[in-house]
Amino acid sequence: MNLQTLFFLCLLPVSALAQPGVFRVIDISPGVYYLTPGNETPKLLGPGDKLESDCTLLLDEHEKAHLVYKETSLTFTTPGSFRLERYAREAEERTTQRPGLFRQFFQWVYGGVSDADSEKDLERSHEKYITQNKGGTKGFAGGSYGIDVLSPVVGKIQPGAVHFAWRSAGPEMLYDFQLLDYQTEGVLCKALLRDTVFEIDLGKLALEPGRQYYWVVYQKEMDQDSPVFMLADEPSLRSPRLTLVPNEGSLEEVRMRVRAGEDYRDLPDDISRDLMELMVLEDEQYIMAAYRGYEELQQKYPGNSLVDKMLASFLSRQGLLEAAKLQLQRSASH
Amino acid sequence: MANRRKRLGKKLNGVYSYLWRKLFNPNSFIVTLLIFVFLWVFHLVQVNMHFLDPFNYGIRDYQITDIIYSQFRDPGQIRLIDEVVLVNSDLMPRDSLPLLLRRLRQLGPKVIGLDILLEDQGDDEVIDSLLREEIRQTPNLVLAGALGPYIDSLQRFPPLAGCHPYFREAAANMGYINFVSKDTSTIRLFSPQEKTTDGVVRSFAVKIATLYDPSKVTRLLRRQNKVESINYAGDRDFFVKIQPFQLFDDEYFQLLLDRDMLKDRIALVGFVGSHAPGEREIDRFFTPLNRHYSGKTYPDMYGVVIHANIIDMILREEYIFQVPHWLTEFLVWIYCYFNVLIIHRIYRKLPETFHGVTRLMQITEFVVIFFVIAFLFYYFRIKIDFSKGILAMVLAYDFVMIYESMLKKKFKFLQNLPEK
Repeated sequence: MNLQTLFFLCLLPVSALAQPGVFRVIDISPGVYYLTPGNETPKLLGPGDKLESDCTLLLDEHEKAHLVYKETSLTFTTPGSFRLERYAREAEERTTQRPGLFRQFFQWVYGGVSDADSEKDLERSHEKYITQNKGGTKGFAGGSYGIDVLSPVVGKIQPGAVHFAWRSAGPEMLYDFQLLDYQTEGVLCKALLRDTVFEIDLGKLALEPGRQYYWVVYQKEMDQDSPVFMLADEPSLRSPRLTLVPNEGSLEEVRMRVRAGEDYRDLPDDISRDLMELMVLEDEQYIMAAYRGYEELQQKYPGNSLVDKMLASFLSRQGLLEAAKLQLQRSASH
Repeated sequence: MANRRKRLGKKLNGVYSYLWRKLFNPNSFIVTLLIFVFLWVFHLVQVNMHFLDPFNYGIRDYQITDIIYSQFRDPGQIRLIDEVVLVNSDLMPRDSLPLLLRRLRQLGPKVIGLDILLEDQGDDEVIDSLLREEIRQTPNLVLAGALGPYIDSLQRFPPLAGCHPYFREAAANMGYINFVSKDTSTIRLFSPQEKTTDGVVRSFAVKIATLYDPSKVTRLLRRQNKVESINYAGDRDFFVKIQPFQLFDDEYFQLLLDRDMLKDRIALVGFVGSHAPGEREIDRFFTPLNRHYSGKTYPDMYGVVIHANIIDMILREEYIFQVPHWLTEFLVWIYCYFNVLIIHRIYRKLPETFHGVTRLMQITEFVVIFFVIAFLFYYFRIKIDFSKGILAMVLAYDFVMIYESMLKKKFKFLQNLPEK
């Protein structure tokens, strides 16, 4: 090696001599693939895999991959193909820009000083912060509390047996069914069930006619039956609370009134008349009766897409989106 | 030669007497003493004052070093820990556990830690017997147990609980999963081993580390600390995670086999959630890594990840050095005394600007002390509890004032003490 070569070698930046890094897979969802250069067949990606920076990551909908490159964490959550070279470059830059203790300490002290002014800052620039917190029950619009109600036991309920049904995402759960007084929150009926259906004659519970009650299903710890997992005392998965009012008004009166109406009689066919009657029942909050009516109509007109869709929209109006979805799937399969 | 020695002796005496005259002030000594008497009395009564003090309640479970963990670390910076792989058990039913263990065994890890308490037998005897058989066939498996209430009369714990004898008999190794903390307080400590009526038992993490590298555990135990501070490396993102589907799906399992994913590593099985909103709070704890280090917040780390951090600390042998209590006390006394001495001098020499100068000095000192504590912990893992020193420094100003304006006037003998 002559002197000239040595001189040029000295001019090379240290980074050029640094070892190229590899991406390590920390966590992935099912079905994530990657491509290596010159090979068009995607390979399945596994946890702990090492990827060179010339690889391409392939993600589909709802897939995610968490990778680490030279102490930099990278999370991919959107569908697409990602050339890792670019992310390696960005990670290298981020690594060199990482502040030392002194700078971090100064930033923290300075941050503390500016935080003292934070209340005033909230007032001054509320637009900046207003999106950070939302007071409201998250997931209600999506009908998702973890447990989805499938039978619309809600509104005015007539005497007789009532069938409650729900569905949970978790396997083999224990459910705590409760019927409570709306005003006092007193429990009138409680049952620990393995099944996702429960039938009870509300007449036997001595409920006060016209008074509001609600029912809810909680997912519970599996108790002695499965002591493997320590679950929290307060379960976070529950169904929405559905309010019902027993023996309120007369269902037959409403039916008679509808049938006596001119609009009803002017309708061209039976199916339209039946649907109108059910719409009025829903308006009058006889939800259970309307639901049974839709079920009877389905039996009367099997495969009728209008009835199926009317039932699905009825269920979605009650907030039972999962039940509505199941209904649409069922009608599509017919 | 003799003359030279004499001259040196004279010089040294001169230096000593100069330092003595400059640094010893009986007034400052009395003020320092008063501060510590006050702190001692305050310490006695503060126990019953929490209910009056929501601010104190909010920050009482807080240490200065928490800020280093939570604020001076870039959450995007990850030092991947290769020796330990987290296997997420999720909410797996018991009938999946035998298959899980078999598949893990096939992947050839050096140690498997099952951070699940098998407290009772299940409904299905066949499943239980399968599970017991798998436990028996896995000699490198460490089962989780729990320490019961301490028996004062015996000065020992009862035998390990939390694992049904049906499974315990089949297990070659067990460790307790208890952490050293109060009900909902931050997990900073763990105890490496404890005495039970059945003999000495090791903690879950220490037992796993023993099977992995016994020499490192020997060095840990040689430190003879009853409890050790956990030197947290990071949260769950610092470890490669295997999800249940990757073990039970044949294609993924083959992938793990082909790539020697668990070969000669530690597989820690436990609940590793995603911290998603609405996720049930299973086996989650507060740690110093919590970004919100005081006040209202959520538990930030799963128990199995805390065990993984302990194992990592033992394997790296990067322990936290706690400054001994006597040394801390000594430093606090010296620090307080010098503060009082300086404040006293400012009081006598700069009576006009005394308040401003003293307060400015205290603020500067506070920041410097904080930085020194952070520096020692960040670079050398030396942990010093200097909160008493800071409190003494804050009180020094007020006590000098009380002494000069009240006590000195009241007690005549104090006026006769020499001032320098």
